[in-house]
Amino acid sequence: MSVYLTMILRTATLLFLLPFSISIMAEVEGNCELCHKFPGIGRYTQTESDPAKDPAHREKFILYIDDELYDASYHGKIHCKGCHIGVDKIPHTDVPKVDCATDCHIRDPSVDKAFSHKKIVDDFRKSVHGVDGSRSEDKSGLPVCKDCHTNKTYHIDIEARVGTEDFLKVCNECHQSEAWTKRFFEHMLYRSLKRRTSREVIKLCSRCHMDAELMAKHNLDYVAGFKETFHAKAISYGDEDVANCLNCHAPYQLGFSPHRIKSARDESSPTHSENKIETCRQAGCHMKAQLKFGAGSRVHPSPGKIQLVGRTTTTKTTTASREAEKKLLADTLFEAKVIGWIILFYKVLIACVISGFILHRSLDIYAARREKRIMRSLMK
Amino acid sequence: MHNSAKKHTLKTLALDIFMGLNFVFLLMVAVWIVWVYYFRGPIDIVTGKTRDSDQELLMQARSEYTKHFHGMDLVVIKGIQTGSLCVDCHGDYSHYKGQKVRALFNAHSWFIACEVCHIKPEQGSVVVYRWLDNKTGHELTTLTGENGDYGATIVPLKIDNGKTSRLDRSEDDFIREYLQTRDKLNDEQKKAAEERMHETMTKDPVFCDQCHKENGFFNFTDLLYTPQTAKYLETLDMGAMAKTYKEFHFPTLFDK
Amino acid sequence: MNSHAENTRYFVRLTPSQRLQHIILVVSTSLLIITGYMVQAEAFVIQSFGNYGDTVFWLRGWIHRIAGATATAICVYHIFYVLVSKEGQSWFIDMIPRPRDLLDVWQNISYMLGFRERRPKMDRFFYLEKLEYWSVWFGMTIVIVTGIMLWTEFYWPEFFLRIASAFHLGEATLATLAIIVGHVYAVHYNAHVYPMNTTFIDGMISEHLMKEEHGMQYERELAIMNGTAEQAPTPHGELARLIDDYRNCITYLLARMKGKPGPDTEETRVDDDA
Repeated sequence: MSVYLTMILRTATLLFLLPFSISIMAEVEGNCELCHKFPGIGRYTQTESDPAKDPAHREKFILYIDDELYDASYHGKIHCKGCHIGVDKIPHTDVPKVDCATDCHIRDPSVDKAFSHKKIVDDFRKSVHGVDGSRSEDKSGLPVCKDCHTNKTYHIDIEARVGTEDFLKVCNECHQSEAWTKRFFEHMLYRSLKRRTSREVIKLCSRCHMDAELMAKHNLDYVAGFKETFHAKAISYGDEDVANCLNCHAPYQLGFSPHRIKSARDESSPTHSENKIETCRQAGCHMKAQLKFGAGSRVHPSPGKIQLVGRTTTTKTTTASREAEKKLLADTLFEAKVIGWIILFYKVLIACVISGFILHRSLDIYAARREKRIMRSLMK
Repeated sequence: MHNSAKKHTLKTLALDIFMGLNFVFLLMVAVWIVWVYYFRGPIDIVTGKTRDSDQELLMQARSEYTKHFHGMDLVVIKGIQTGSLCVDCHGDYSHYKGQKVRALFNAHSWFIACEVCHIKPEQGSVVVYRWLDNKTGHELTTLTGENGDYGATIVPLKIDNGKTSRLDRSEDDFIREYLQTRDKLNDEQKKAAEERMHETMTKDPVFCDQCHKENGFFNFTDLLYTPQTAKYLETLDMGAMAKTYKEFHFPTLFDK
Repeated sequence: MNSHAENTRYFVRLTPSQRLQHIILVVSTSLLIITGYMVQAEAFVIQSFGNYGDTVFWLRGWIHRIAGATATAICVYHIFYVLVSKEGQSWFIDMIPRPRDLLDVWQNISYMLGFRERRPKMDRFFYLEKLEYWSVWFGMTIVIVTGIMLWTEFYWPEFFLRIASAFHLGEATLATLAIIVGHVYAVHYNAHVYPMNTTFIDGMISEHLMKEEHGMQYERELAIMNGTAEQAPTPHGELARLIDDYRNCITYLLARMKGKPGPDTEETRVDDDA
C-alpha cells in the first residue's frame, strides 16, 4: 500500500515540478537561443574587411550554441548571461570579455555563498603564467583560463566506470530529481578521475612551450627535449603512471597546483634545483632516489636552452640566482656536448664496422662466383 | 661441388622464397635501425611524428585543439551547408559588412541558396522556391530536423514551359572552369569572368522585412512549415528589430 | 640441399656446453633487441596496440630486464667456463688474436680479389670469427654495465643516466647491425652453408667445410688421426702454439730488419699454396 502511495506522491511531485522547471528555463535563457540556435550563425573577425581578400583577419567566430550539448556541459546549469554579462542590445557591441572570477547564480553548498572561480583566478594571476607573477615584459601573450579550459560535456558512462548503474538508484532513494542526482554524481566521478590523459597534457603545454617565437618573446626557452626522455616514450604507449609536464612542474601531491605553477628559478618551485629531488621522490615515482639523482641540469634540455647561455635574464633576478642560472646553462651545454660526442663516436664506429662487413661479404660473393666460373670452364 | 649437384625441386623453390623473404625482412630491419640512429631521432608524442620542423609539429598540435570554449568548432565545421561554389571565393561566412546583420545573414546561408536573395528578379518567367535535399537534390516532402538544419536548401526554381531548372546551379560549370584556370588568367580576363559570373546578381538583395511579414517574399506554408511556424516566421519582427537601431548597413558586395 | 653425402666425414666443432651457451644467448639477445627497439618504435606500431599500449609497455620493460639478466648470467658463466674448464681454456686460447691473423686477412683479401689461387689455410677460428667473438665481449660489457646503471637509476645522477642510455642505444645499434650483416649472413646466406649452418644444433662440421674454411686445423687433425703428427696430439687450444706464433713473428721481424728472410712465416705459407 505504502508503495503505491509513494509512487503517487512522486508522480504528483514530478507533475508539479515539471512545468515549473520549464518556465524557469525559458526565463533564464532569455532570447539568446532565438538567434544562436541556428547552426550557421557566425562571422569572421571584428573588422569589416573582406576575409577573402584579407587572410590575416580570417579568424572564425562560430556563434552557434547547441542547447543539448550545452545542457550536458559543466556549465549547463548556468544561463548565458551569467557569464556573458552586459549583453542587452543587438549587435552585442561593447560587451566586456567573460571574467571567470564573476560571482555565479549557483550557490556553493559548502559555504552557502555565491559560487565563483575567484580564488583560482587570483592564484593564477600570481603564478608564473599570470599577469602579476610573470616576469615577462610583454604581458599580452600570457595565457588565460580559456586557453586551457573548455566547457566540455561530462560524457561519463557510469556503468563502465563504477560497474553498475545501481549506484544512482541508491542516490535516488532520497534525492528526488534523477537528473540532478545523475549530474551531481557525474561531477563527483569526473572530479575524482584524472581529467586529462598525459598525452593531452603534453599537447596542451606544447601548444605554447614548443613555440620558439612565442617563448623568445617572453625571454624563455622552448621545450624540445622532452620527447627524448623515457617518460615521453612510456607516455607514447599510453602509460599514465609516468610523469607528464604537470607531475613535475605542479605536483598536487606536494601541495602545488597547475594554477599556482612557478618558474624553475623560484626557490619554492618543485623544479628548482634544490627541490628537484623531493619532486622525483613523489609516491609512486622514484621513491628510492638518492640525493645525486635530482642533481644535474635540465631533465629535458632543448636547443633553445643551449643558445641562451650568456644571455642576460630578466630584471627581478638577484645576482646570486643569475650566477646559479649561468652555471646551470653552462652545465647543460657541457652535458649536451658529451652526449653528442658519444653519439658521434658510435655513428663513426657503426659506419666503419658495417661498411667493412658489407665490403668483405661482397668480396666473398665475388670470389665464389669466380671460383664457379673457373670450375665450369675446367669441366668443359 | 655440392652446388652443382643441387636439384631444383618444388621444395628448394619454397625454401628459396622463404629465405628470400627473410632476407628482405632483415634488410628492412637493418635499414630502419640505421635510419632511427642516424636520421630519425625520437618520436614526438604530441603528433606521433618525428624531427626537424618543430614549427610544423606545433601547428598540428594547435589545430588538433578546440579553440571554441563551448566546443562548437567540433559541431560546425563549415558555416554553410548548401555546397554552393560561391563559398570558394566569398568564404563560408560570406556576409562581412554590417555588424548588426552579418551574423544573422550567415545563419540564413546555412539553409538558403545565395541566389534566393542575391539574384535579379526575372521578368516573364515563374520562379518558385522549394526545399531540395543537399545530397540527392530531390524535393523534400516533409521537414525533419530543426532550426533550419534539415539537410536541405531553399532553392529558386525557374519554370519555363513546364521545364524546371535550378537557378543556383546555372553558372556552376563556368565557375568550376574559372576556379581551375584562375591562376593562369590576367587581370582583365579575371575581371571579365567575374562580371560574367555576377551578371544575374543584384545590387539590391532581398532584406529581412521582405520575407518576415505577411504575404512576403516566401509563402512559408508552401515551404512545408507548419501553420504555427509559418505564422511565427511571418510575424517575427526581425526586420523591425534591426531597424530600431539607428544605422543599418546594406551588404554592398558588388559596390565598385 | 646440403652436402651431407653418405661418405662425408664430420668433425666436432662445438661441444654441448658451447651450444647451450649459444642458444641461450640467441634467445635472450633476440628478445632484448625486440623489446629494446620497441622504445624507438614508429607511431603506427604504438597505435596498433590501442588501449593495451600501457600493458605492452610494462611487459616490454620486464621482458627486457629478464632477458638482460639471462644474457648477463650466461656471460658470467662464460667467464668461469673459459677460466676453469679444459674445453673453455682451449676455446679461449684459440680465440686470442695472433700475428698469423694479420697474414690471413692479407692473404684472404688477395685471394678474394683474385691475386691468389687459393684461400689461405686458416686455423680453428679465422679472423672474422675472432672479431665477432671479441665484439660480444666488449659489447656485452658496455651493455651490461649501462643496463645495470639504468636499472638502478635511483643511485645515479641524471647526467650519468643520460650517458648510460646513449652508450646503451649506440652499442645496441652496433650489435644488431653486426648480427644482421655479419653473423646472419655467415651462418644462413653464405653459399657454403645456405640455408642454415646446422653446427649450432649438432655441433658438427663437414669435412668439406672444414677443409675449405679451417684448412690448417683440418690438416693437423688429419695428421693426428693418421698418427703422423710430429708431436703430442693436441688438436687445438695449445698455448705453446700461440706463443710460438708470436715468437716466430718477432724473429721474422727482427730478421727482416737485419735484411734476412725469416725462418717460418710468410715464405713457408706461400710454398704451401704452390
